[in-house]
Amino acid sequence: MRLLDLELQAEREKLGRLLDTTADELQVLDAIGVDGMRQIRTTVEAHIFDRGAKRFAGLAKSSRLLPGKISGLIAQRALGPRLAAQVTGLLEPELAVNLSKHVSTPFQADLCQFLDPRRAGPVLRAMPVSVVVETSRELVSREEYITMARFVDDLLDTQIQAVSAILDAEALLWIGFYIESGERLSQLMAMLEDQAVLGTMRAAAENGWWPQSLSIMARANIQTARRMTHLLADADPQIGAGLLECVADLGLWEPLAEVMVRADAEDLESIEAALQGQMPDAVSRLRKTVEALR
Amino acid sequence: MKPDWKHLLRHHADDLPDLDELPPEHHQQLHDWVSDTIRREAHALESALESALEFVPRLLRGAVKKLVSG
Repeated sequence: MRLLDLELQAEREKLGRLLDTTADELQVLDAIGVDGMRQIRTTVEAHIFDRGAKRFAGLAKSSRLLPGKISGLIAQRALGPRLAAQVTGLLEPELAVNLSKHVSTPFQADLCQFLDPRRAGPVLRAMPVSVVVETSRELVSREEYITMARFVDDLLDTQIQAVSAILDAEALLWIGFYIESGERLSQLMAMLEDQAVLGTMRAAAENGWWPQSLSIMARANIQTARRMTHLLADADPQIGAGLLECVADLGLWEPLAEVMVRADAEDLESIEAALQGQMPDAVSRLRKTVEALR
Repeated sequence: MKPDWKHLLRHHADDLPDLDELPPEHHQQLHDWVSDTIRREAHALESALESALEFVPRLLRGAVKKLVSG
């Protein structure tokens, strides 16, 4: 398995949600790669939005004429989450905040699955932290990590920090994995305490999710990769042992080497020394693969 | 011959690559997915607008109808 396979799977899931098909069915598009699938997804979304733009704008304007309670009813019972999401980005932020008081948290979570965060930036940033946190709680309970990752680019740091505080290690790991922008991923990781970052690696060790953790380290900036490998060097060696076992099982030597080549030399030596007695062959393979990249 | 699914997306497809890596049958599959999605979304919008008006107080219904009819 390669990191690219995981990224392809994530993109298939996003595209599948739009085209109302399964990620498995979309394997026929693997040849066009992650970027090709992403381009198709954003193009179809833009086309659908433009086709209904006048009507969505009309709905947004009409909400100025109606009491919030009625607009809330229309959103929940007539439009449903997919169409309400298209209108949300066109609402005046103040109106959207008022409307959020008249729709249920589960509906807001449904709506988030279809909301284009790039169009809804001002509305998202106007939402009170309490609304963002409650909606996030609902999304976490549904394991809607793809949805949550899409919002990281467009929310305020204060909103993200409040949400991060309610996330467990598993959720942080998956959200980090699904975030598209390496820059924003690095910013998110920088906001987390060491314990939370280490927690994502513990979750990886406990659940066999090292490919996801490696993907985070590979896509984040060098400071993040160094921080993560430093934490790994200081952590219980069993975590590092789990990483090497997983890498050996899945043949992820190259992605691991790409991460380790960015680590501080002392941390890399420390990881190797801690595992040398327990897994000499794996440590030797790691050394060779890292050397080959230097 | 590969089916031209990009015309379904009109000018939005201008920046899309040709996706020559895909065989014609997969272009056909993509055509079906994209056209079904566009049709489904258009249908959902029309029915939603009809039901939305039922929630609008009678006095405001004309004004709202005018706004949403584009």
